[in-house]
Amino acid sequence: MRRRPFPVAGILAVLAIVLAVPGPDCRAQALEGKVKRITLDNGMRFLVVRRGTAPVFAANLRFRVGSVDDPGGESGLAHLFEHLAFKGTSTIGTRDPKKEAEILDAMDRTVIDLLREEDRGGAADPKRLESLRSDLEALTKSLQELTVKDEFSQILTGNGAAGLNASTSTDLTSYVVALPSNRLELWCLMESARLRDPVLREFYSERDVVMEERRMRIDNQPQGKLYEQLLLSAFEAHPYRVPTVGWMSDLEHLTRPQAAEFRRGFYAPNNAVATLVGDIDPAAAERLIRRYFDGLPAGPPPRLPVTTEPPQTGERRAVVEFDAGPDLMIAFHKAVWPSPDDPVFQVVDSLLTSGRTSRLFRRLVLETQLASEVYSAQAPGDRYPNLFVIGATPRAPHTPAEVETAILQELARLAAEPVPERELQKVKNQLQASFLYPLRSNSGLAAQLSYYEIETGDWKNLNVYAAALQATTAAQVQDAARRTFVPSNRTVAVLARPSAGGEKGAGDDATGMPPATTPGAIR
Amino acid sequence: MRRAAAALAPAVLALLSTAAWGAPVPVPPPDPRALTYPPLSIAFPKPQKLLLPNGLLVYLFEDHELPLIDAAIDFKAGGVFDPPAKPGLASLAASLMRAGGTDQQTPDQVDEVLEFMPAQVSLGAGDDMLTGSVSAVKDKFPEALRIFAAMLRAPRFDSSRLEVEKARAIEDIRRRWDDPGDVAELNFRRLVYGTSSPWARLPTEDSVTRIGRDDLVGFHRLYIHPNNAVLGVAGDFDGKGMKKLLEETFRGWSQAKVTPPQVPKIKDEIPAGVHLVARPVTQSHVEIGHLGVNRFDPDKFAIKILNFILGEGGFTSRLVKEVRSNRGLAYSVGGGIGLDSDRGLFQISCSTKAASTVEAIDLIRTILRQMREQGPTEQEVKEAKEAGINSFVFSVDGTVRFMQTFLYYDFYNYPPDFLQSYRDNLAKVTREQVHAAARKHINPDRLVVLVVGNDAVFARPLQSLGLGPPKPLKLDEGTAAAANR
Repeated sequence: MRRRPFPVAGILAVLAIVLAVPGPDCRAQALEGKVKRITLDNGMRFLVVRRGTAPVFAANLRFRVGSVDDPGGESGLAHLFEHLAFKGTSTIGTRDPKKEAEILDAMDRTVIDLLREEDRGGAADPKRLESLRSDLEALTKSLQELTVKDEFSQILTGNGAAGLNASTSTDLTSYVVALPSNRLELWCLMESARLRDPVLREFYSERDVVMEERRMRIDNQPQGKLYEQLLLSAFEAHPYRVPTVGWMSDLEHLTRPQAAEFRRGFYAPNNAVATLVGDIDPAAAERLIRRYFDGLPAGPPPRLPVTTEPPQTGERRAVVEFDAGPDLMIAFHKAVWPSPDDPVFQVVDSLLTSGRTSRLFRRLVLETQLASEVYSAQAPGDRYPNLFVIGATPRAPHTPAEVETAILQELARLAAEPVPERELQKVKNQLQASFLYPLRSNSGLAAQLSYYEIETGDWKNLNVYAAALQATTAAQVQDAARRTFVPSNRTVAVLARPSAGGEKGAGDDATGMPPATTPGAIR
Repeated sequence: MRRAAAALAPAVLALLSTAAWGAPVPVPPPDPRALTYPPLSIAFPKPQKLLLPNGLLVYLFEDHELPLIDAAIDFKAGGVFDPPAKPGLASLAASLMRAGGTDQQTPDQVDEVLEFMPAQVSLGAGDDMLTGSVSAVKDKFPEALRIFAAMLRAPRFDSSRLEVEKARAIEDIRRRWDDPGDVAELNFRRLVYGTSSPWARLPTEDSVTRIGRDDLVGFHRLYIHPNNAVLGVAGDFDGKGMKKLLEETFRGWSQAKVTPPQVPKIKDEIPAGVHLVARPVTQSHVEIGHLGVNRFDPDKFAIKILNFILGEGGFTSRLVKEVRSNRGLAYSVGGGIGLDSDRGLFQISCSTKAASTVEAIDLIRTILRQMREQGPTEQEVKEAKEAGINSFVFSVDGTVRFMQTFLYYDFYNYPPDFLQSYRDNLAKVTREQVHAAARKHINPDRLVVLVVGNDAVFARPLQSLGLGPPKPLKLDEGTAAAANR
């Protein structure tokens, strides 16, 4: 399942140490000295941090667009667009941009006709289908003759790029790479070029690639399948219910004009944040950034999804049949930042499943041995009210129902008794330290800064979030648990072998109800 | 094959040099291939080398950027040395050194102290290396190191925790064949090395059940000695103080003669042909290959270039370009010639929708045959070398990571100048050497092809590959027998 993109919080404490800042009051100020923010007239924001000794830097470019922004019937589009962003520009990736543009348009027309014909099902004209398919094949062939295969990636890789990649979540799309520090101009050139002038070539073969990605990550993967069903059951209206990779039938119908329209709506400089961390001079970086990104035109403010999830009115249960060992996920709706509940649930997450002394690990894995693994997370995104999810792997002969009962009892305890002071302090110590470790890498720091800047509007909310974590009280934990961990707010998804049928879950008998989860080394 | 970047270069350069800094970039932007770069100087962290009185070899890497200290230790031990009747012993022993308490503290006490600090401690066994690590904020490090040292020197191997970890290991075994990707991965290894090979055998419910506390104690007595390890420390400390801390902490941990059992050499007895694990899945997992090479193979650098061009160079590799990007047949495809302590695996992996299974296998075979017959192009070799040489700087990015790599080189006796001479060695590789390496190390006529999938819905039958009828592979076949051998 998807964990939070990275632990949310705490970078502030660490930077404060790095900078040898004396007290908390000076923190924000001192950080401001270290993190240079550049805002262009077109609204694009850059954060630049000089650090480290090796002559390299990491870049993390995020757009505030994710699968929640997929138009209806076009699920998977944000993610497919992320794949297409590697296909180049009108000057990178082709031998003849003009001729190529004509062929691409002809392909779109043919594909749209073909889809229309195919959708007639039994009434489709076989001759027309065949002729359209052979047209498409011919166009694809003539296009391949013009294409310089994957030239965009090749240029970066040839210049020593490490970890060239991208990812799409429900909320965000992120483009990451690390380069030798003397290649900063190359990064500016390449990123501004694909933002200004992307050519979505090879659209239809890439659509096939994404369908394979869906088959791999979800359709044939027990945990992927279970998680997809959990979201579908927990959210009935909000787009968090739709899988980021998209539905197969939607993917089959996506076209290049739809992707171009999507780009116009979301891929504007005013919807992006780029963070550069490493051995680079911030002043020189600013000159290059302005040179390459200043001329990009701002776009209209992106359209936001309007659907909100109605309050859940009763427990929901789902069974996924799959030929694999039994599995269990439990989810509760909760608020997100800036609600004070968000940091409280970060503390709850650690209390329950972080480390061998955490409550659920101790009870389920060490003491009762009902499960072999247990984990928790806030999911699937952080932009809209989300879920607190607990998952566990039952250990034979124990059933998901037994595991569920034990988990619910622990949640009830969280609501019934205040967390002892020392246990709370342990969790706070862990949370504080967990932010230190990602700082050892440029990419870790870049990811955190970019994330806070784009998701909350200001990277300095890291400070606020970290402070909120440290200020969390036992009473807050108890209160949040009491309000959240109630049956009517609960969704339980169970994976069972087809022969086992729908197993009766613990929640069916209402007795035990609680009142209230870098580049590899050279070898 | 590429656009005429060179011809454009002079014009673009002139334009760049006359443009004032900060002036907007022209539309269209300059050709990225025409950019020039100042030279990069790479400094290799220089560790301080110590030999403690008990024979423990130590490398210290001072780095004061963050208030953290990390230590890592590598022992010559691991799964390939497991007794034939007890596969899984090394792995279980390592996890119990971590989870089973020490002579001073119960498992609960250890966990409470470490997690309150907090410190991260891990221990795990690989094939022929057992690795441990500890990391903490600098002022907590001495206490964390003391506990870590006690885990190494005097593990308690608490019996009730042993039962917990055995039960978890058995649950993992029960679920071993749940994910079709894992089924393909593990069984390809078993096919190529042989199910009873130390490099491929798997623990079974029986073999794990048979492992008792005495076995762990015996394992510890055989391998976990200071003279059988190399230790590295990296982070915010001063060398003198760290030397003193290490001497104090590891005092009393004594040397012993370590004689690991002989591991039989891997035999080249490849069961070439098509093997099938029938599964009602909509996507097939395919593994194709045979034995790979030794980590010190004389063709090592040519093989690195070959692998990059063939299937390890991401988007720019032939397999990704053809199978994924051109044909849309896979999201995940790639692989290359593996290098390992004895012989690695030459392994190409691909997952594709059921209907296109045979098409994808055929395409991969064609790519392999072309590479063997024609070799790479000059341009491909040039680009692969550039990528390897330009990205080399990342080998010194991050002191902790550098330390781990450094220990690895020391552990496997790499030449002392391996890293320093790495770029030169890559630069020296010629197209002919890469082609020769392909001819020598890729044999398209002796491929093992393993398919996990639903052959009833393949668009073409597996027989049409011309590799004979597919041999059905039963999943648990061999594991118990191998364990008893």
